Amino acid sequence: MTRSVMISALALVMCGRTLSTNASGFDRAIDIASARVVKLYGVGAGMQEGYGTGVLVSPDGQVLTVSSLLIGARQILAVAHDGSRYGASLVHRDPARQLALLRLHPYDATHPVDQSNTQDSEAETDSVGPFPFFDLTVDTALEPGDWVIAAGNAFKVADGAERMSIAHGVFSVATRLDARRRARDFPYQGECLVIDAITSNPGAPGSALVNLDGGFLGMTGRVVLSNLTHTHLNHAIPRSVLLDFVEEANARAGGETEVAMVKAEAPQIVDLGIRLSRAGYRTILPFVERVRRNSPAARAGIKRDDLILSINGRAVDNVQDFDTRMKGTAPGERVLLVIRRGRIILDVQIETDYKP
Amino acid sequence: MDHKNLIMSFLAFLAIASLMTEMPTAVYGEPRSPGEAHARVEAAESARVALIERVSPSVVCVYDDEQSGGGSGVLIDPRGFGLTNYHVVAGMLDGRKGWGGLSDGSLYRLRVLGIDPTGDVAMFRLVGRDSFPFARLGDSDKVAVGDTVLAMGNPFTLSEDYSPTVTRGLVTGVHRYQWGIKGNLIYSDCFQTDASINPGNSGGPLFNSQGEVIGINGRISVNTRGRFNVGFGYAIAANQIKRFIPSLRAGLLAKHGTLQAIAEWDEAGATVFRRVSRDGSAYKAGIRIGDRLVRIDGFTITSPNHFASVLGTYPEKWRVRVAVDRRGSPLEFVARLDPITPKLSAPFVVDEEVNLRQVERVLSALHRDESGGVRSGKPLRLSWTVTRTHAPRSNGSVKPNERFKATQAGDGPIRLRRFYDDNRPGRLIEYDDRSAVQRIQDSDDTFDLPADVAMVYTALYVVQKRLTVPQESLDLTGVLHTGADAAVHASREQTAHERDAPSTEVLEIVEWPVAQHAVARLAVNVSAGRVAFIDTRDIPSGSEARILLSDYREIGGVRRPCSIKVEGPGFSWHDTLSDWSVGP
Repeated sequence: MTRSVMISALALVMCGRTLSTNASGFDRAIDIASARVVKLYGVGAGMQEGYGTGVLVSPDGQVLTVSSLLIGARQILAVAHDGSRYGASLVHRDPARQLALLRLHPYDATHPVDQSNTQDSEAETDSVGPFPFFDLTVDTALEPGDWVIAAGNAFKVADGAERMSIAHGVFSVATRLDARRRARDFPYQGECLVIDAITSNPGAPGSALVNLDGGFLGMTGRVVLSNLTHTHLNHAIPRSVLLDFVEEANARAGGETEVAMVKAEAPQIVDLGIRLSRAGYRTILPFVERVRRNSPAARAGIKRDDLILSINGRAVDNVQDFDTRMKGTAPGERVLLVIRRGRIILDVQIETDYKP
Repeated sequence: MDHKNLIMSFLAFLAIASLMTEMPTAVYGEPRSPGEAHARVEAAESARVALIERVSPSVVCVYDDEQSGGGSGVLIDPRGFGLTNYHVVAGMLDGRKGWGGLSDGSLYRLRVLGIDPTGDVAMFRLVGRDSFPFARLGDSDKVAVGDTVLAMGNPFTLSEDYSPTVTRGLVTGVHRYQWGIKGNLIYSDCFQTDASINPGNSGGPLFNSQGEVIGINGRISVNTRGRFNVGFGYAIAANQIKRFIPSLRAGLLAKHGTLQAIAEWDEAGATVFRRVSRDGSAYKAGIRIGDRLVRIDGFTITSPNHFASVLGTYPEKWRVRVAVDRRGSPLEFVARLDPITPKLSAPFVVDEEVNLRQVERVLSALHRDESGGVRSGKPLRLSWTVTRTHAPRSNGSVKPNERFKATQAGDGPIRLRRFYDDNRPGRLIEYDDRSAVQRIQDSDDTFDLPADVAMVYTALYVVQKRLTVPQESLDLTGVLHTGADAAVHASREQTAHERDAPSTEVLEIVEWPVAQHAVARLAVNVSAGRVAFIDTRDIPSGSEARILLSDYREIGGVRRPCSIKVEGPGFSWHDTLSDWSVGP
């Protein structure tokens, strides 16, 4: 009797040992997500990276990603999890939801595909795949506190067939964001999944977000800052929004693409409609010299000889300061000025315009 | 047997068993009730807490001599040897001094030993205690994406009492390659983790859930937001570090190896050698431009990046097996890697005292007897028979077998007398560690042997004779510990099976001046207490030979190799030693 007790105890220990690996339980989700994302390479400019991530949503190579400068490239290169290379062309993009749908086709390094030709009949013969993909019609339950895994190519750490980088965390809340991208408000007003896995990194937007079983939850969104706290928000666009977008895009198949929007995203200069005094030695104080009629400044009541003290709460010491600060604002945005008029200090709010 | 005790021990077993089984399943698998879920979480949590308590004492808060800045480290040996990043100690190289704080709350004197600037690793030693807590290095080739890891160290030099900060995460990438800075600090084949690593974590350990060190944390990716963690930390893999530890412990400037060849993508998506330097190890081994790279050691190469990544984990002079495809036919070469000399602001001078300690440690391993004790050697009179078979020469001719009778008395030279088939004595070869000469028949005149053959004999003398005398009577002038080499790929003659056998064994190299202008590199398997092979090199001519020692037998209280294969430039023979007799 006592012996059998001992034996069973030992058996338990041994059994425990064989099970006791380093595995965390995320392995399955990581495998599923890694195989269903692609590394994207396009153009970059300034602070905008020329690389990113996309999610495969159909076996024949439809790839969802975020709408960014990257996909405005003449040729986009997509690298699948096994290292195979494809060209990708834009099917549809939506600046409001900041989403883009791409289609993969055979990669030809010698003949870059011109995006304007992507809808012609040749596309039919250019079929690729089948790829492992996420079925957007399959709903996956999600509760705050659930583990989530994001797979993507942040910092383009992975190259070729190398595996995507992983971020793990929990789902916090589904909410609408009051956020901005640099100086511009984040236009997406729908529901977002807020997570505590760090996904606001260069190249990470467009990562697949899955639960522990590898169920698809959404796609990580662009790097944005909270307007309230000025911190980076780690968020994902929910599956249902993605599904609507893809269905809409496919319904329009054969129709016009929104390539023109690429140009619309080029930086614009904010125009208040004032000219500052350029007279002075060393330090040129930002006195208003002229206010254009019917300009945003005129509508806000700015007058000649007003001295600008601050923009959006940040002090302005000279004309150069003013120019620098203005570059940090976006057209259509509200600008808060503090001015001195004679011996009075005034707060002025200006609704900005695009420069004509 | 006390019944109650038995029950208690059974319960203890169960407790351990349940901890072990619960850990991996705690995060998934449906619990049957809220109570069970709670119990699982608690069990997983207490297992984690126990693990952290167990490994924390080995984690070091590293500070420079003025205690103005610092990083982290981990002890890997009870004598106080520890690992950190090169960039943590780079500022301490003037005096080689610093401080190490442990979780016992005490600050110990720290001495910087060897450095590996290319791989961003350095070794230090703490003093002030008879025995230090330490952690073991794990097998980092077994690490997979998704494994739970703990990073420990002293980020932002937060710790006032030297207890480490603990962060937890997953391995989020393996086999990553992170470019270096001015040729140094290259993270080759490293791990990526989302455990939070921040400034000050540098040099600290990355533990797996068994509490083994699988890597040394040292680098993070940062964006425009500043130098702090955004979920991307990198750790140098433990298996790479293991190959450098002998050099680091011996206080050397460790150098990484290179093939002096550049591989790039070709049109078909294969990795192909585009440039092969004529004086480089790849060319010498037989690799040519246009060869498609297939494998390095056991690793199938998937990209030029992967090639750089795998190669970056080896030290100089290490032997790697390179499999290529040349116009459809598979070929295999063994290349001995050339050194990459790291760029340093001031020359690194080897501390001879530190190095000598390691020479002594390696040699003392050869002096252990079967029971592990230190043998008290007495010079003996030995004689034995040597049967020598020659390998065919390049022109196809084969030298007939030879038979020698060898004698060695006390500290004197070894005498090797050739005997003909009819037992007529022939020429005599006489050698010690300084010279090897031969006499024809009974002539009193001595004739020099060719320099490359002479150095083989003198190198053999070192092993056969000098290492069997007590260590304190050894003259170690000019003897240097020079690092590590692979236990595999020792010979051209090894079968594919032998070479493919997995071996994590690292041999330690002691370089010994022999003959007039030659050196012998003794590759010692310290744990087995044997010399595995000897490389000899005649410095003026540059000619090299390799001696493989095997079939060790206990003779006169000493383990002596009874099979000696010699591969030289233009000569290659195999000696079988037998008929030993031991006299007073």
